[in-house]
Amino acid sequence: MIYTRRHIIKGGAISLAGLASGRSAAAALNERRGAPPPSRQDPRLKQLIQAAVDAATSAGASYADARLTFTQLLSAGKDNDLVPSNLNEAMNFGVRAFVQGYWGFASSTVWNNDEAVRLGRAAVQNARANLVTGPREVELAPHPNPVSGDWVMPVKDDPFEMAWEEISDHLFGLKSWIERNNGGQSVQRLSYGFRREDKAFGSSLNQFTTQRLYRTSGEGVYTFVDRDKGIGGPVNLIRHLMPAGLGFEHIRDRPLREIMKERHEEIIRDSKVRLPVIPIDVGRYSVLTHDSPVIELLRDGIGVATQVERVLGMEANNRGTSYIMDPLAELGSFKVGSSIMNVSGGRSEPGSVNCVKWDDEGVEPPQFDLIRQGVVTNLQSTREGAGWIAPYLNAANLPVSSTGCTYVDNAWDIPLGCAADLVLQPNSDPSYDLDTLREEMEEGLEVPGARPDFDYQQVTGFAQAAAWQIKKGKRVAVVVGGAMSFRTPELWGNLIQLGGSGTVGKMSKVAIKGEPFMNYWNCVTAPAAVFKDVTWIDALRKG
Amino acid sequence: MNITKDMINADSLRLLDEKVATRVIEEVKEYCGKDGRLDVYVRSSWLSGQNWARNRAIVTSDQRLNKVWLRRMIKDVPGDGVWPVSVTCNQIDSASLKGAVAIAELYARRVALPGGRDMPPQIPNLKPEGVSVWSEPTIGRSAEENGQMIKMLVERSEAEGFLSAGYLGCMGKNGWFYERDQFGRETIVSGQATGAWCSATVRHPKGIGSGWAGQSSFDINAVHLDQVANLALDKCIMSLDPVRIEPGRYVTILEPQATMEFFRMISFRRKQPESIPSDVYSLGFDPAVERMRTKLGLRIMDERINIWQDPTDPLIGSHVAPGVKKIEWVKNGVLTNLEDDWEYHLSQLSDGDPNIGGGGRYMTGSIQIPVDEMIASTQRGLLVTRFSGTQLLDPGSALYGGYTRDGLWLIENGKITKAVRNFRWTESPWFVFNNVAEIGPSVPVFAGSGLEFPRQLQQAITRWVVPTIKINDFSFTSTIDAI
Repeated sequence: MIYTRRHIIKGGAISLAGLASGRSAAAALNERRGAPPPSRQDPRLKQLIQAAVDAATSAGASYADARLTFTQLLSAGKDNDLVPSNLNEAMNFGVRAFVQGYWGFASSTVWNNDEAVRLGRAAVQNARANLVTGPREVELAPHPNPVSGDWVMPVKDDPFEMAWEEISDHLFGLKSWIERNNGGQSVQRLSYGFRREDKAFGSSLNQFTTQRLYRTSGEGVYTFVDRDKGIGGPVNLIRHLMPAGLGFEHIRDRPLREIMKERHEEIIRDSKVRLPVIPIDVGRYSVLTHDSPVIELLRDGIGVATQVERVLGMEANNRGTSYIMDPLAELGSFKVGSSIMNVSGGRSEPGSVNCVKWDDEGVEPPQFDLIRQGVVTNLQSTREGAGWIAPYLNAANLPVSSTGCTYVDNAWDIPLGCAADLVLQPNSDPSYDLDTLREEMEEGLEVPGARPDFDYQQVTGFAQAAAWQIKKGKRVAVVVGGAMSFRTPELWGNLIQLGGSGTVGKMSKVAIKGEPFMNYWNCVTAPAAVFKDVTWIDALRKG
Repeated sequence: MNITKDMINADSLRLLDEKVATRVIEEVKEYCGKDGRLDVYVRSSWLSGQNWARNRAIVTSDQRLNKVWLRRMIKDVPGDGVWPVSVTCNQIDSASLKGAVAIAELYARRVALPGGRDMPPQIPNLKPEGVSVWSEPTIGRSAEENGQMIKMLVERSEAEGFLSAGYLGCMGKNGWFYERDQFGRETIVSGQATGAWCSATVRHPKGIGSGWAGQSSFDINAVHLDQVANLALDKCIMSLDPVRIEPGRYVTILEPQATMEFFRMISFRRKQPESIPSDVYSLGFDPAVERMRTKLGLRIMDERINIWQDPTDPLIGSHVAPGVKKIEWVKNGVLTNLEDDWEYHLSQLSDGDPNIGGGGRYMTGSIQIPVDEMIASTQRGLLVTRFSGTQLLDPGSALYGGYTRDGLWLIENGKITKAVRNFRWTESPWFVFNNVAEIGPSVPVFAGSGLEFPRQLQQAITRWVVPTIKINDFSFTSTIDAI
């Protein structure tokens, strides 16, 4: 069945009434609530946080911080239900205390003064429970600027202030377009998800901040079929609807119909130019990778391995460690890539899913160099992590301070060091587009997408990928069944060319960390790239 | 200053009690319309954890949570389906509940669109057959007691110059799941569970060796922390200075934690083989009976392997859903049953009891060989502690890839002779379970936070009891650098 806006309205008089009233989810909920959650400006937030922090410091904490989060999640389209079908609200309260080098943490879902005091004391009691394991000498890096303030992530359309019907209408419209332009074939997956979080943070450094953060994402998967021509191919909108620090405009302002139309044309075009399909001939190749595989390789191979907790072994029992094992000796000298590799970190890029004004220790994340000319020059860190590598930072004339990577998904979670957004600098010459990079390649492989996985030190990697065989600058065959097999420092050491600004792409992804595990998100930006001497193996070959 | 109205997380009360939960359900019922279907799930949890690394506890945590999930399905237009609307909130005061119900009502009624889903069938109100998985020592555990345990866990590693990292966790959960179907029939199921788990990784400070061990149970007293600490350290010492050997096919002994990785890849779900010809249990369309045929009754793995589930084993004790019973899945290598879910059973099958999965899932060998004897009978082979990074490479052949981790040793002439560098492997569970040389005694494996309740009480969770197995020709494709 093909839905139209007219059909929707005709199909439901109540829907029409809803469109007319146009009430948002938040407004509808608040109207019926006796005591709506406090706004960011409500003085009770500061009072609760102050009560928790005071309770912790009175009980003996040398430092304490507390968070209150009010998180709203709204999803539509899961399992093809094209109406907003799932609203989730959570009010959480978490307190952390630092006592003689040990952290204690307590959290709950209760927001009142008695609970604030209980959580503050419990955090200290929990920290003290660790003293029995012996002295732990940890110095937190100084807080660079513990200012107070309020910040709202800039978005155009707050999904929680919109009428749900407007969101449904958009989904129905998209579904109808797909079905009209796809011979009536049904959509396999189509959904949107929205998150809004109000977060209040305060600490014993007399800092109090409030922020409003957003996360919007979507997915759309279907098979394009042209029955007349007898051809078809997969269409996936995931690249275009990845999680972003934006409102509904992330979806509404995307030219999704044009993107889909272009993909349909590409499928038809590719069906005309039938390149031979050949199995991978194992060996070493020069490889031109599009932005997407570069992003994946950078995120896991470089991004995860340069998180200070991984380097120091704090995650050894969980996700793993890192190929950087002695940070004080290796930072500033460990060469992880070729001299054209420059990677910077930060959390201030507008639209990024990881963008904040203050991290979860109240630090304003700075822009920092992670890799300069192939050498690892810093780590993604928290205040404790920066304290561990302070001798190096001092010697390198770098600020002894956190890079602003402390994160909680909501106040119930234990704060952890997570990831910054990473940017691999593109070629300064914008003329290096994909065609130019390909034309410069005498012989090799071109990889539009890959699925890498890494060992638990992020050093050895394996990436299944389909590829084109390139000869004299032209695609001559489709290569199947192959996988790249590499060591991270060797792969990046063999980076010989970067694409220009026109080849740059951006992708966001969720990852997990900690015990009990917590989700965290970051965004990686990278251009296309050319690597030499990459080992290709038969992906499905058994030993 | 009070924003939350109900003070339910008093210091002495780690979980909601039945009185509060019943009040929440009654309030939700009162605020809801009497038509259509209503599901309410009230749950609370307490989680206490201690992380340690570099031989010191680094953070101790205490996390408490209450949550109310409600779903409304209202059929306004005859002939059309329903559009389920669910609302979750973690505040249980009357005003918040009223607000949550109001939004569910508003949207469940507003979305009177053509299409929608069929009203799902209601699950019968059966009494779960599982055993108690509640332990007072676990729910009463204090941070101070666990701190003492961490001291013991790291002491020997520190004394011998190694670095220990790990996690010790205790949790308790309870929940009440209420359903009212479109005919007004009501059911309620409640459950409570505790869980405890501890795992440790001991590494050499220079990264030249690593060992791991872990245990879990619903009862903290059944988690032997001294065994975890000693085994992780002993494995680390045994794994020092590993040598590189050639990748290839080896006779391989998989310790239970590694066996589990392959065991859990196998599902016995019925839905797929009857509708998808490419499903692993499908024999395709049989024109004689004009329907899809499954592999029920055929041998699918080594004839010494038996696989079954049992929700009543007090040693394993895991939360079970209504209708979960003892079921034999594979007997002497032959597929004897396939798994249903309630929705499929009630909508597609007309009679008989459904085969609902859950409880402890066991794999045993009809002849059990002690691990020492397995090693002694191995001319040249490898001993694997566990895997990490397992990924599906090819759905068609169920081919997976991954890495060995935290202890890999070469066996030569019946003895462990040296630690070897880790490998990447490529293998299929069907190859593994059809190339078994020997099977050892079965033991429960580490389950981590998998001990928790499922999302709803109507679903069950599975715990694994698996043997050490010796496999012929296990495929290692390349050495890796991680130690």
